[in-house]
Amino acid sequence: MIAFAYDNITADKAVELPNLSCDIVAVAPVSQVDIIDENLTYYLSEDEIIKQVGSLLHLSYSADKKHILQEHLNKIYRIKFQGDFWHDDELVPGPSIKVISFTKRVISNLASTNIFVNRITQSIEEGISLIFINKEKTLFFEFYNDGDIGYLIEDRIKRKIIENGEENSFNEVVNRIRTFFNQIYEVS
Amino acid sequence: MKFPKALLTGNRSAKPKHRINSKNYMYARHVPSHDWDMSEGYPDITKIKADQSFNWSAYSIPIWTRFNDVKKYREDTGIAGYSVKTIKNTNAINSKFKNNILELEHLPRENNYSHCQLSGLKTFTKPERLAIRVTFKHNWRIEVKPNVNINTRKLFLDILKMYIHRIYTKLY
Repeated sequence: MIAFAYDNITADKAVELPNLSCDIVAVAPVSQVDIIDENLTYYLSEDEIIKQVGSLLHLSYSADKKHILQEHLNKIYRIKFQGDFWHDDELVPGPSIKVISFTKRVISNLASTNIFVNRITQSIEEGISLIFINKEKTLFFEFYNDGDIGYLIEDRIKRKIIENGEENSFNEVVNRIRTFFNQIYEVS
Repeated sequence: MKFPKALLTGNRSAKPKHRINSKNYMYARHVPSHDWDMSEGYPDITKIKADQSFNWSAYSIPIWTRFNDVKKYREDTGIAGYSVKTIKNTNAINSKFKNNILELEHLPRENNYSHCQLSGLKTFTKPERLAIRVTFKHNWRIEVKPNVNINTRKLFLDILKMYIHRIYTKLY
């Protein structure tokens, strides 16, 4: 096993626990604890595991939550700064001011409930992509410059797309992401 | 790397669509974007284009995909191989789509005889295109990572593979 997660104890106390035979110890809120389990090793690279566990450690401290959110906002700022010249091969319009603002609003809202995006990047489809990971599921959200919003949930292990569709409003987007972190998906 | 003469089109004509065999691969050159880092998966599904260009495995080895239209070698790019079977049989991974919704056409360019173009993706909505891009990802393989060169052994094996893939196009 790569890591254990404990609730209501600090990281310092956790490492002093007897019979603890893991390489990394993380402390996380209850809602995040089940991210860490032995199955993690099957579908995440070592770097990804360290990144995941690292982010959980940060979640224990409100100051660090603010820091993570600030890093995400900085990333959006950098994307905005890159403008239309982010792609090395050709001119692909960058995200519009409207999309930038919308993305900031979404990630700030989610951060208030301890949900943090795993990756923010630009889409070849002209807009911003947000990627969320919950166990073996990945949620992709893409906010396009023309106002469309697309999302997709995939099971990385079974290589199946579970849901794919459009959303129309800020509330729908936020609710979809929250549901993603709370729902158990059945994959045939 | 020296530009391979085998990529030049010369007097050769384009092959019909049915010659693109399901066992073939399509190689694409992907520039790691400014926000990509080594710990993240490569390439990124957010970067696959609706009209993606490919090098056909029957007439190109992966590393040759690094040459652009003006024969410039882009060592900073990585090469991903997409299975033609996956591109054609999208229904197998995503039941929302029928098979053969996307087309691959052999469109040789002066400095790239192996050049193929994906079409059909633009007719879908953006969320549907997102699903197709994710579908592609499931069976891709990373042939060459960015800023990495291949050794002589791999070069030899890739050339051998190219000729085998060319035989596939004639058998079916």
